[in-house]
Amino acid sequence: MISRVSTQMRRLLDRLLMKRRPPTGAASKLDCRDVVVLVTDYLEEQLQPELHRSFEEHVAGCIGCQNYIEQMRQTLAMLRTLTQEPMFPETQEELLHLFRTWKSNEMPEK
Amino acid sequence: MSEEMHHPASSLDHSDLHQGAGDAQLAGAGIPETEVLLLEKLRNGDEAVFVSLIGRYHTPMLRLAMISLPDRSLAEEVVQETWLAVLQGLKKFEGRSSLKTWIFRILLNIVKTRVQREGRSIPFSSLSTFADESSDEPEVDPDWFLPSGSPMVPGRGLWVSLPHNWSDVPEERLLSQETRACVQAAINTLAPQQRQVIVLRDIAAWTAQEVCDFLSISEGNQRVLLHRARSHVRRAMEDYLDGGKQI
Repeated sequence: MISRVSTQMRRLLDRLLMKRRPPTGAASKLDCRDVVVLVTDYLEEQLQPELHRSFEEHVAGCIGCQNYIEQMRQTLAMLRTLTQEPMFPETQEELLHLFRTWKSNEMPEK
Repeated sequence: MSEEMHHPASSLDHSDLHQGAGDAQLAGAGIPETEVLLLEKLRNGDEAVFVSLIGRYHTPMLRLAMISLPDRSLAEEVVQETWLAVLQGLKKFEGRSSLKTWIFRILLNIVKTRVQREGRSIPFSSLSTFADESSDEPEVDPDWFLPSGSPMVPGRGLWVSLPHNWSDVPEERLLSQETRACVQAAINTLAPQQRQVIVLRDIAAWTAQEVCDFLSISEGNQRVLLHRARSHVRRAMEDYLDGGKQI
């Protein structure tokens, strides 16, 4: 089972189970470092329900993490603007030429 | 799975194109119905379909090619070659994968061949193997946070400096050419596999499943790569926009 858990999750689990002494004593509470590590899993909706809940619980009370997550969303929005770059007209012309040549070879009766 | 052509190849008028049993069979095997229609039209020489395809895929194809072939004109050549190979392979394409995946696999193969031929030093094998890629960037920068074991500060947790609220940044600046250039530069410095994943997921809007199938990587690995890539780009954007964090 463990081998299928992602590296990130494994690290998180290590920390939760072994290394940290959470100030509130509640082992399932996340802190800001966890948010940074888990943000992609969160945005991809891949967190297990309990982890998802802990994540949102922490974020609700932490302006630093709120801003961080918002920055991540803005980064994605920026990436989306790179989606379509105009093709050089010559490129489209060349490809059309390619297509027409192929077509006349394939379907000479047209 | 065999393919069945129901319409004479010479028919140019496809306004009455309808699906026969063979198309349904093809559709049932995993290629979506709309793609079946598209494929059919393409095979029959529909220029409008070809134009829409090249328009739709041009950017991601070029970006993907440029990961291994940074020379843009070389990358453009490779994209051209890909389209030629696609047209020549149309007859034999069985629709076992989606048209999109098939096109991009051809691209990747041609890129690989070109890389080998050009003798570049980028090891292409690193692009398709499972890799827990090392990066000189820590996943979490320890400087951002109070030392381990510190109590969380109410409202701001462990952050030493709060990340800025970007909704305060005017939109013209956030989406400006300069910011775009910064993001582009950040993408260019990503490790190749991270770059592939972010290009396909966040720029070309492929689903996680499509990326995993295409790159032959696990869902978990895909997410780690995506996470690292996004973290790197976010950081570059932050460095550019902020200059410094507020306390």
